[in-house]
Amino acid sequence: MPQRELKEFQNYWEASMKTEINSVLTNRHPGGKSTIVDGVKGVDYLDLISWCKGNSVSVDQRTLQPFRKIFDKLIMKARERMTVLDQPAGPERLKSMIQGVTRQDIVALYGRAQARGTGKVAPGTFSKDWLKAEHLFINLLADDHIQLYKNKDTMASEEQTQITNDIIAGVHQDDSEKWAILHGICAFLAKNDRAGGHLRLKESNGWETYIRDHWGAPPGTQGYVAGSLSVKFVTTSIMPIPLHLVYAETLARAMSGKEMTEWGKTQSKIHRDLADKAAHHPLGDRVNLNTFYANFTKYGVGHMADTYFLRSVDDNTAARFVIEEIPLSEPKEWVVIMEPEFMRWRELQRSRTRSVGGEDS
Amino acid sequence: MKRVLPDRNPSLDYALWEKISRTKSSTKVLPEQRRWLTTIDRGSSQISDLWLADGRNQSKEDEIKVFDFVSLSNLFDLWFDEKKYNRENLQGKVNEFVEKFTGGSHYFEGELNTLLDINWIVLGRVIGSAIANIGSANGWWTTKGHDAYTTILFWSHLKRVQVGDTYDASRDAKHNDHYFQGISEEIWHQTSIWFHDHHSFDPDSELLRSTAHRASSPFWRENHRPHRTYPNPFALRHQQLVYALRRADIDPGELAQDHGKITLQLLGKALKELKNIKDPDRFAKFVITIHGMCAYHIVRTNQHQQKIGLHLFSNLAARKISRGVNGSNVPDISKHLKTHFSLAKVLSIMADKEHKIIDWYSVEKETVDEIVKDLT
Repeated sequence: MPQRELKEFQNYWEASMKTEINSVLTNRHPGGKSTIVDGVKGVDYLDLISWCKGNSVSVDQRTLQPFRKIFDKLIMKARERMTVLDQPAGPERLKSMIQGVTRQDIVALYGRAQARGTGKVAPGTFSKDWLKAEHLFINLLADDHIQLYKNKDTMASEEQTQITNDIIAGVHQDDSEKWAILHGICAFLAKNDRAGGHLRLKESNGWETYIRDHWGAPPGTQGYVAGSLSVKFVTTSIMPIPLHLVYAETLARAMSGKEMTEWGKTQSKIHRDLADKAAHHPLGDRVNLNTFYANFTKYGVGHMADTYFLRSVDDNTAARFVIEEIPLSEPKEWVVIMEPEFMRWRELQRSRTRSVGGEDS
Repeated sequence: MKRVLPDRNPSLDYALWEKISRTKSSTKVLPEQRRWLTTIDRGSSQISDLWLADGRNQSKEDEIKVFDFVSLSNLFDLWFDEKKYNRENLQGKVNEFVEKFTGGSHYFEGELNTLLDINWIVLGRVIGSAIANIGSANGWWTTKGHDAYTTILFWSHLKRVQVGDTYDASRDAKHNDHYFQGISEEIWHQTSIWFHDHHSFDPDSELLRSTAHRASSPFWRENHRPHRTYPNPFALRHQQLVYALRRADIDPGELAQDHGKITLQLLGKALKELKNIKDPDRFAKFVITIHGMCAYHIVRTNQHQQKIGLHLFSNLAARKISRGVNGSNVPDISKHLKTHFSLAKVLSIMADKEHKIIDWYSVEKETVDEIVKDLT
């Protein structure tokens, strides 16, 4: 299922973030759907937010951490670059900056790539976290979300094409560890470390707009253009949900599936079941509280049910579930009302299954 | 299989407790009973004899069968009522306090409206970690609530890096002026690397999901200067409170063995203060203490004690907040929780009069069965 969710993310991303201007596929401008510049609207995030609400799971955060960390690093580097660019002396300052994730950054996050050797680990063993980073980079490159740079400002087009071709041909899957050490993206970073080799998020693939809408000034902020990152803080973002975290986690879950232990699988099933049952309610967005509890119990996680009502306080990627008393019920009964975006996620998922075929489970 | 409430109708918990309250059928589980229960509880919660459908003996001497019920301590009701009926005034008082904290208005600018919402999930983690630590100090289990201890080390280390070799954790807990300019990228990076290498813990990634609730978020970064990291002033206050309590202890134990006790003492004190009607600021102080406790707890990914902290405590909170459930039966909780920590020991720590996080009652099985039969 996470594989399919990733495909859907890609579809929503393409459809939401970009538009054709003069026959060229271009980023929509920051400011959201109500901002119109030269007849072109900003981004309507509804489908992407709905995707987040359906895919945000609360599994043991440690399992998803390596993916989230590295993806967030990519985002932060891009954000930092744009923040500097928005400042008066920005372009000059950028010249001295490495504007993406380097080998050193990965060392800082995960430690050394290869083990020095201990009683339990043979010298030279490739770190599992580095392998995870490699998997993440492969997926991001395959979907055109990152670019390779061989020094501070020169793209490594040849190397990137070679790696992309390997990925398309599936060479990287034959002996993934060996490929990663010798020919992969982490290997590229190691080879070009001294020259300033790094990875950048491909801002022209929608990411610039996302970053500006998530952290930048909303339209109407006095003294700032929409999406400016010079603003000190933002109380109401155009895109309030950190969707990059959910995307990174879904990539992680998709990869773990290959090892036959899909993280968060139970919660995905619960989400689908709940949304389906809610859709059958006359009001189309709610289930009886007992049904809600029963869904969790069915999958052996009854203890998690009540926690779902509190998750959205500090995690705005999580769907909001609100309890409402059924008037005049005796003994008292309640319904659980699901957030419209959560319902939309399932509705879109089912429509897509109907249109392209496949199993809806 | 059914223990107390029918599996298909768990939401009868509200009506069941209401009837029990109306008929005054519950009795408090007293300290000596709690002590006895801790000695006879065996195995994971779902298989322990104490929480099965047959009920348990009332006490060592009394073989009348009873079921146990727990709820958030009634002291929390004072907070819920104040928030519900006096919200505007409460918000005003909290805002005033924020102004008094150096760096407070800067940290919470544009986010003051989140200050009345408690982050129950993180509070559950804090409590779970403290319970694990107390139980470990009692020799009940080996899990020590290491996430909370790493948290203490983290905040101390962060300050040590800034203050230098003269740093003394206890003495310097109240010295925070250097924080108001924010933590530089260099110091943050240095601290992150040290914790990554020594504790497999990366402060940056632990925080990624916490930014949505500024009140309980340990740190914050401005948009236009993402390299400066500002600590939550409430978390710094909590650090001061921890060391103040430690200094006041005549015979303090090793911090690694003691931090759970300190945390629950602080929570208990804040809860009891809610009764002090002479203090008009008690509710504002309470919520600031809770935010501080949560914001201080920076290690949030540890799942060892998630079931007894996050799920047990926050579930009681969720039921109370969303439906007004004032008592949940333990047999059904234990069936779903499936925790390897002895539930009797966990509950006895939570019900201890020193902190009184929960209220713990027993009700005769026969009475409960009759009410359930009526309800269904």
